[in-house]
Amino acid sequence: MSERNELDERALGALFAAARDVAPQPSDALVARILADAAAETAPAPAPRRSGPREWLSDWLEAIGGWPSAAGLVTATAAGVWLGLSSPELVSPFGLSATEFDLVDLVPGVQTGFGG
Amino acid sequence: MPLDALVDEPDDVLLARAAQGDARAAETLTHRLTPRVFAHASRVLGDRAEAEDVAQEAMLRLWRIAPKWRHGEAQVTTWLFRVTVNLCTDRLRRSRRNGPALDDVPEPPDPAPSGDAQLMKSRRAAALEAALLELPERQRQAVVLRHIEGLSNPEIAAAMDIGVEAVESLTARGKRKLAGILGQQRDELGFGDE
Repeated sequence: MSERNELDERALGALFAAARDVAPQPSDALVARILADAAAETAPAPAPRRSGPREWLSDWLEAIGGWPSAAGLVTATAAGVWLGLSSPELVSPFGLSATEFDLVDLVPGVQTGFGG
Repeated sequence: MPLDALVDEPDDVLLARAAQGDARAAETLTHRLTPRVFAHASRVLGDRAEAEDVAQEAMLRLWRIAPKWRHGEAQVTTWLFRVTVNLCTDRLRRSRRNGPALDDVPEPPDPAPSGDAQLMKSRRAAALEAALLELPERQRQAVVLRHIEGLSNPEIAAAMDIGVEAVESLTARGKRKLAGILGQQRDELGFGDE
């Protein structure tokens, strides 16, 4: 291949410019497939959040673990309220009062040795 | 925001909006980037069907990385060309060829009637694309990115994962080879008098 047969810089530039102007174009079907991929892969825009009592209750239930947790929580709360309202007389027969206690020597014959 | 207003938005802004489910941003980005990705793959692979597969796969990867895209860290086009270059390389290696079979090389169109600038332009583009397919794969990708897609040498270096000097070497050797191949069609390409 001789020097004479090689294209110069200007001619090559004209060929590159022609290639830019007459570029292969993607088909409409390809564009449609790419748009379908975009729709499938990207999350939809979040809808504006409603804020009513129903949504608040739903969020609260979800946060504490659902209806079973809510039932347990209500029961525990009711028990606490009942204990709080009850008089000490009602509580002490069940041994729940912390104001009285007895000391019992379970093994009277054994000396601990402390204090001679 | 109307579609026209999105046309002026930068790629990374559109990508962030697309990641949040903005279909119009995704559409704008698709129309902006798909022709470039498809044209590159088509010129490098010399096969329209394979180029469509590569373009769809490259864009799919773009949608998938969109939610994790870090604003300002890289250019979307550079990232996308890097994916496209790699997909093309994989396809060419898988088919165990550096260029298409002779039957796949598009035939240059018949000589254009004199004075018909548009037909001559088509003829030149077809001749160049056929000659590109005779280059080794790395030279072909570098020449297309530099001289047709218009990427800078550092951008090509990032897209091809090589140094800037290697880019310069690949494009220089590629152009020299193209000058030789296409010089044999000097007259048909309208350079006979030069």
